[in-house]
Amino acid sequence: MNWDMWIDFHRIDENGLTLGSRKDARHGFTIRKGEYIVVGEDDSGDALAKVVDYEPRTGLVRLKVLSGSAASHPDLLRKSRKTLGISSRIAATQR
Amino acid sequence: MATKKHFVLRDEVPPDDSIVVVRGGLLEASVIRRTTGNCHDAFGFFGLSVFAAIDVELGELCRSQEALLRPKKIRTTTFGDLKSAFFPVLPTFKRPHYSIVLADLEDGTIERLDRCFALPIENPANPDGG
Repeated sequence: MNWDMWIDFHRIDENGLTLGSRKDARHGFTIRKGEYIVVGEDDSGDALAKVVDYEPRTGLVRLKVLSGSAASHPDLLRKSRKTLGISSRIAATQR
Repeated sequence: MATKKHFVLRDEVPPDDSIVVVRGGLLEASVIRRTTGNCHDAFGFFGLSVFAAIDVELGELCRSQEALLRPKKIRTTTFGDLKSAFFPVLPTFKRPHYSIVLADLEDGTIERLDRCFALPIENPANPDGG
């Protein structure tokens, strides 16, 4: 599955949130607080994560990463893709 | 110009040199550069996030940290080996999270860090991969 954003799953702050960076988002991707996005890294695969906080000035993104793969949360994933306008692509990958 | 974020160091006794330090994945140079660069952007230092097996066995640590459940392979070193290679390790965020500090992202620095770690081994928390 294509990621919306590369993250290092190890970078976890004192609140248990994973820290991402705007510059690691795919080209043209708009980060919005409250939305679910697909994050990933080559060694760890993908996951679904909620954008808890985003600071446009610094580019720092705080994410609540859900356990398991992105595909293990089909309802949230479908909602996320629909919000982002790429539901048709995801539907195709899930067939 | 982006403002650096503040972070708090935990007030704790430095771990014993023999304590195992774990990083999930293969720890490729591109990943080191990317994640430590992000750390520098946010906090002003080149830090690599790792977890320490303090008072727990390696497998227990890997099973207790969400980030370590995911990769098929892990790499390990010790606080002593990092100290011998002149890499400071900071107690950052929530225990058992630590940040290995790199002075810069020159090839030699990254190669020196890579040599601190043993070759990749199967992740005891994810023996089948996933």
